[in-house]
Amino acid sequence: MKRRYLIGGVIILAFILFGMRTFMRHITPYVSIAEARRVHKTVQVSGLLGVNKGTYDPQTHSLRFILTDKHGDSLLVTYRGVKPANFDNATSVVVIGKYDSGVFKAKKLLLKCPSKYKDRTL
Amino acid sequence: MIELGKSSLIIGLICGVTSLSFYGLNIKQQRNWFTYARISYALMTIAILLSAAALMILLLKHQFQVQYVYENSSRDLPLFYLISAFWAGQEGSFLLWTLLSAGVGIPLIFMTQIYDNEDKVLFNYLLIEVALILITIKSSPFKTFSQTPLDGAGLNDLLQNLWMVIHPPLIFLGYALYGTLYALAIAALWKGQYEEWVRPALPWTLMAWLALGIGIMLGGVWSYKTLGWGGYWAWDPVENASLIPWLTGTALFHGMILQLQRRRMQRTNFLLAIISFLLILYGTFLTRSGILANFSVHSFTNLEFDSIVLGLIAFFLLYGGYFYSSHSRQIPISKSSIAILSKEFSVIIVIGLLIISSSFVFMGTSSPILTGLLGKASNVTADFYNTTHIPIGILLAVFIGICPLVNWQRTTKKQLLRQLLVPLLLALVITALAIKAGSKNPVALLFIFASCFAIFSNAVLMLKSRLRKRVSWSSSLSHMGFGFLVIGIIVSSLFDDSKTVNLAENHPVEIHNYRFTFKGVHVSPDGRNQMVIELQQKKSISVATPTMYYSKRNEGVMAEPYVYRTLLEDIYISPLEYQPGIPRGVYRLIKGTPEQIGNYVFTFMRFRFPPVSSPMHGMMIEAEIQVVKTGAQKSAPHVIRPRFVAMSLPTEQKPVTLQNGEISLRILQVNADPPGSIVVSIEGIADEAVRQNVPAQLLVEISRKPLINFLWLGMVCIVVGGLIAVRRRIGELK
Repeated sequence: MKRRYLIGGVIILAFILFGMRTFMRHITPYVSIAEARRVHKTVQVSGLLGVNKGTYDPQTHSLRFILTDKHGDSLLVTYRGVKPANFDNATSVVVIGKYDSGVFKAKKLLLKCPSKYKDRTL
Repeated sequence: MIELGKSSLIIGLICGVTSLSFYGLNIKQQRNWFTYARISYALMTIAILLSAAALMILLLKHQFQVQYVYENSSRDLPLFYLISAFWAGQEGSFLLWTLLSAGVGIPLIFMTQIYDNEDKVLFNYLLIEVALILITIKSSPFKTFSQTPLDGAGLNDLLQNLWMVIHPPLIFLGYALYGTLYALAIAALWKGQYEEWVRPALPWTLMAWLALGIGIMLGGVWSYKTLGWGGYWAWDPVENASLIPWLTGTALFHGMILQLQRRRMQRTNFLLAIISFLLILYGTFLTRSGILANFSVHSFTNLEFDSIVLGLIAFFLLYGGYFYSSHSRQIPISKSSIAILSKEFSVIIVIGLLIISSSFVFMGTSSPILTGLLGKASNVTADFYNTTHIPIGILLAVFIGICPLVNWQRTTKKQLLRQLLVPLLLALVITALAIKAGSKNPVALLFIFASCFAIFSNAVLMLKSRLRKRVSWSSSLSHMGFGFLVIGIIVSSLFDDSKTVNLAENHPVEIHNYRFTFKGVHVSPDGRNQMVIELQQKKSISVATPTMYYSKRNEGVMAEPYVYRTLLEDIYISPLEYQPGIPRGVYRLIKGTPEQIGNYVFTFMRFRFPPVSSPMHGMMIEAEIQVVKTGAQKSAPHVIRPRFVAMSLPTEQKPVTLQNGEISLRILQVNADPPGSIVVSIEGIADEAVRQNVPAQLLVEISRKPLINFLWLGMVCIVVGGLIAVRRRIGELK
């Protein structure tokens, strides 16, 4: 009976360790631009898009734009993939990816659009 | 109407508190206050119904002075979607939850009467209901503007879909039913009915699990058919928020069955019932508050009611925790040992796996909060969920496969081996076939083997029980469904073959054994652009029509995929970008980019807006174009300024001739989107240099999803099995 509890405990412990390890491995911290430059890991950076919405090359499907965070740092971001439909209307963006030799290579973009309909004052 | 809606909610609150008090008095004084309590409950339900009716009428009558009506509907919305606008926004969905909760309470009153626990169950249930009414009053759908807008903002285009019309009511019905589990569990602790509560609570648990489950599945179908990224599940916080309580609910009803059969899991079941409801509240908090706003694409925006919901979670946590801890010692536990080769052991393992799975999803979804407390807020990627669910999924399938082969209490090795033979052999055959078909991924093969084993072992059981006319085959059906589901998920995602291609109009492209020909754009009656694509496989031709349209509400181009379905695979066509064709002699000049045409280089410099003599003439746009002649007769740069009048037709635009009269240029189209471009027709270029007709181009992502139908089949089996189980368990109550 004792042995059985022991085996059960070991299995549960193994699951917990496995979960924690996977958790640590796939976590992408939310960082500032300065920090994204420093750590060469997959991170998320949130920031504002400039008035100049960047350039998009339809031939290669690559998007380049400048992201500015609240500390005033800016970062050149490249994204390979089709330009998201509402990109031109987006003001703030969350980019998920890695900083590598001067450019932030985004794997994923999350866009936030200022919806004029949310303006309750009319 | 607005006043009716508001005041009905207040009346509902008063009636709810009254009913709560009468039930409380009944518990305290042992006197019969039932009639008063029930009448107040009925009045509360009627009041909430009136409030909901008021909102519905406001929506149907386009009363845009009401903020909620303005934000979620418009005049041109068809009736069907107008009705669904009721639960398109946060405030309305809370009202729906409150209404469904009140409705669910009525059969609960009838059932608990039979079990003589009405006062305690309803007392606890009303605590939840009153809390819901309070939230609805706080985030009221009846807030108004000072002026009345002429038209509403419209319903989000993504929600204008059959699946999205029925998905939220099912989710909220599930939420409402999870409330009954909490109430039943607390009341049972209170009254000391540690064993007796399970039989009446089981059908409620099954119904809650089923409603939430169907809701989640419909959400997946919607995601697959509408969003265009080819998936049905993204591990998004909003999805996870419903999945976590669904998993604990699954664990709960398995635990209840175990308690009925073998008198085990008494404590676990109480904990699961209480925690499941708390997880519903927690999920609501996560998705409706702004806390995950930076991490989720479709989380709702913040309303200042975070603190209310947090307060409620704390209240129901402490309240439930108090009842559990003060009674946990009296809860009987079984001391008899459990044989490894028994059904009870398998079920315990399955419950354990479900709890582990829900914990992992909980951990991942809460990661921004958990890590935010320790330091830097971080989120996990979808890989976390996928990786952790590899061992969980395989083990679940294995134990679901073993379950039907063993007896509840004990099975000898010999018996098991004899039973094991057929399903094991069949699963091996299928796995061998998969290897032969070229799949080498060991994880995929393990999944295929385990889920085939689960399917065949349950199929054998189902056949036997059908032949012997035994009633219980619903669980086998659902368990087979699980096997199908896993095969569908694994095969369609691991062997997904996706290609991005540019389809030029009328130029066939061959992919995945199909010949795709883009045939142009067809504008459907609802004003959306259908991209007509011909699909040819051998001799059969069919037409696929993915759509692209501009959504005013979302301020962007929306793309809806087209799914070409066959028995064994789906061809998933997702439109990405459309470039209209350019006829012969017509050119697109992009701001700042020199364009060599014949002997000339044209550079579109900038737009100018010359003053117009009268505003009646519309808006005048002038394009500054620099022209340089190259080659032998090289010339100095020369600037021409053709004009474009925004309100007249392209054919009415006046051409501008170059000084020497050689060429003339006319603007056909103006596009101010950055960087800015114009479409011009140029005459006078040497014939051989004239740009030929450029066909329209459609960029699409075409992916092949093998065996995705197993996924839908699995869902249907799980749901049908669940429905049969509900019917049977309700029948057992009589």
